[in-house]
Amino acid sequence: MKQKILLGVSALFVVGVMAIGSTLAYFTASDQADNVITTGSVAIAVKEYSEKDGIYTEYTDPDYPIVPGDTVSKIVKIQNTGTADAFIRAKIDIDAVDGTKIDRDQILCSIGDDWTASDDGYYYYNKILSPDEYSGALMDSVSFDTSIGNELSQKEIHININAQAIQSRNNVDNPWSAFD
Amino acid sequence: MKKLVLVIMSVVAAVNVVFCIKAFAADSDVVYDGDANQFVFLDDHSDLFGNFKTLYPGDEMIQEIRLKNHSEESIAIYLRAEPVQSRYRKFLELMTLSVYDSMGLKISSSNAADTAGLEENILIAQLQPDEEKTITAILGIDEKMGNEFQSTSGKIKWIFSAEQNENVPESSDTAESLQKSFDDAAAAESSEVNELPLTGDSTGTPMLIGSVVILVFSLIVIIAIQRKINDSD
Repeated sequence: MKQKILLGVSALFVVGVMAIGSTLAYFTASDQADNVITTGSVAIAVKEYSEKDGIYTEYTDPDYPIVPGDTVSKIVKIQNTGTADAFIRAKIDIDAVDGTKIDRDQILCSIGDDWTASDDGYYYYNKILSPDEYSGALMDSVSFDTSIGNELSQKEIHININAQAIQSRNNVDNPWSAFD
Repeated sequence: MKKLVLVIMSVVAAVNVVFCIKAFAADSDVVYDGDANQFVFLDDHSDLFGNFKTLYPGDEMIQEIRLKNHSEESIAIYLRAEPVQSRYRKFLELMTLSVYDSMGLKISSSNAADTAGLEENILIAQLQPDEEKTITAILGIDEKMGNEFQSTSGKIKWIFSAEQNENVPESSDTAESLQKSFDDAAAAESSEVNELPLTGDSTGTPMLIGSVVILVFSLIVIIAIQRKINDSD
């Protein structure tokens, strides 16, 4: 009888330990998330080419003297090198190195159909340019009118392209106001 | 027969102690793994802001984060944000970050460089076994952000914590009763919500000592019984 009682008591102790164990079972865990926020970029590059006999090469200045009546192949495109769709505009500046005044009616750039001239002197690209995309040609040639006189003889003429871009996203109403 | 019974009891007692020790010793996805007692990020991506990349001034983006309970216990999940490193502050100050818990309640809304509302652990979800819920983060970029922040990155560290919680309501409850359960749980834990939930088992040592004492006592009793049996034989 004593043995049975002792056996029963020891069994109760074991059961009690199990019950306590399961009642007090408690776990926690913790871990870290490293959350990163990044921004994109708006960037463009001016690309210039020449065309001769259907072959396109990277533009280099003519290695021969230009005379009135000449037309030089100069194809200018804008490439979107950033990560955002962008509006593009560009200005063409023509200067003589020594400061001689240039009549823009005598040195003409053939403007592409995808660009619209504005009174502020800029040409605005008619489309939104996507990343890695090239625009339609801003110009494809420069013509020196036959009316050019000796005032430009032996002069070094620079044709500079100044292009600007701004994100098209969240920027519809007055996209170029950021440049004001 | 008596010897077999004693052997079984001893094995049960030993297994019980081992069991107790083991119990001591869970769009983006955050999974609580009950077997490993740790969080697992899907595809090892501990960066939960997959939608907050390549952003621009004026953007407003939404990031949903799924919380999953892969365990056999009901759990409560808490969220806390670490203070932002100084090198990211100027960048993140130009953004607003709002966080909504699994009930759709806004728990934080401030510029992303601050941790307003998330300085201490805050309850974001309560999950039944194998249940999942979603929290939401909304990020807004100041349209005046300048070119100096192009191609820039900033980091926000979030700490997820999980603890067993027997008060998790059934998912089939109505929205009203769910809200009441949430309120009750929040009230019950109101004195603890600003305290760090235990990330280690603080009851381990006392319970272990207690279990060992009980086990030793059980063994003594068993040995005494055995001697009595031997004496009687």
